[in-house]
Amino acid sequence: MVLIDIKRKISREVGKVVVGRESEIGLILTCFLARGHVLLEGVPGTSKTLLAKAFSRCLGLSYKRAQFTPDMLPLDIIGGFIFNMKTREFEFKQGPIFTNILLADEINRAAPKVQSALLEAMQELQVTVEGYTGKLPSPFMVIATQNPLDFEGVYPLPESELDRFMMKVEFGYPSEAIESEIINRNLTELNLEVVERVVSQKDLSELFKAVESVNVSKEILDYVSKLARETRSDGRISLGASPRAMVQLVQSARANAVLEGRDYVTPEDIKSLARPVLTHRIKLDRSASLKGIAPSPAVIIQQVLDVVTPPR
Amino acid sequence: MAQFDNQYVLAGLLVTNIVIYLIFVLGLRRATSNPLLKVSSLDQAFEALEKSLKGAFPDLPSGFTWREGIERAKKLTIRIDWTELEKELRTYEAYRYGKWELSPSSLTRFREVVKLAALLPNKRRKKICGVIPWS
Repeated sequence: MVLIDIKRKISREVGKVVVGRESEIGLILTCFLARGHVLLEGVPGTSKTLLAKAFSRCLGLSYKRAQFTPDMLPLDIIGGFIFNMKTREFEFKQGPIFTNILLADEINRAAPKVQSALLEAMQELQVTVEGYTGKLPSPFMVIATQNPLDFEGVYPLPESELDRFMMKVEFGYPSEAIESEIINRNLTELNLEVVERVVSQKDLSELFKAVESVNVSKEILDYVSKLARETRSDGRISLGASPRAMVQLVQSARANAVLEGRDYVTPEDIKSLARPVLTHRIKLDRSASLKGIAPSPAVIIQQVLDVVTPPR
Repeated sequence: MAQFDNQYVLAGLLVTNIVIYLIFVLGLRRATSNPLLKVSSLDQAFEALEKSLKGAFPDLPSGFTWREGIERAKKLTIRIDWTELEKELRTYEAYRYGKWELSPSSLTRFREVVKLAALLPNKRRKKICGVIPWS
């Protein structure tokens, strides 16, 4: 019962402060259950940060926020050795990354050196500083927000960093009715205290176990690898989906299956998640872009999904 | 003269009889040759549905999923029990992609799937005759 209800409960709690973002909440939850990290992209003021805060609050997990700026150093995120005057020894002082949910706000405003500091943490769930290796708490999730690349003072995230984000969730402007509701709610001060914890530690471990036990048939795996090959052979794409991307697609599909009350993955799961999981990882061929024959990555992914026959 | 008329009436009746019987026999043959009547398993039912969906929606991309196809079918206002169809689809998916063996009784639940497969219009066949219905 807990497993089926979880999506509705979290949507309801986050919905107390963030209006009209049910599908985005669903994707973030899927990503969390699949032990992935999520990149939220959108123009400023589309409630990305608020949603991330409310999400971690209703899960009852530790949460820290790091505001990424151009003058930031890796030390500001992962921590470093500080000399303790009393003990006359260097001690490791943990940075904000030592938490369950890290909100990396405006990640693309920091220099590539700082962005790269997250690579080990996101992949191996640990950080290494001068020979010292510190394990991160479990579960660990990075919720990063970024502004669109045509904004002032932003550094594009390197491909290796982008590949570590399981999903990119786009935050567009809300519809007229929802915007009116947002304005109405903001007439009085928004209080995050209203968001209650709806999942216990036990429920969370049950959910993670359920995701791990979801069956993925051989045919579904073949279908996923056909999709990968199709992205790599498309002339309009210079960098197709990586094996890590496809592993994460399957993992997210398993989490989606659990949220839908199933213990098996269907082609529907794969198709519905292919866009948020793959679009930020593929790179368009420059000459195709210049000739104007390359549509957006999202359109190309849709075309790939249309061409590859799923197991029926 | 009356005898001559009677012969014509008799011949007419005979021809009418033959035509009626011919129509009946042809109809019976066509009905029994319908592959949908031969469906005896869940696999065959969905195989028939796939063919019917492709016939009804020639523009359906080859990467379509069951739900995408069924969503299109719903727009045609076909009278079937969609809730039951959803259950049958769920059973099929569990059998097809899940790791559990299903009970024999659940594997015989495909009535609405066959019904939908039979009721979907075949645009491909009609197009050959130069008529495109539902357009």
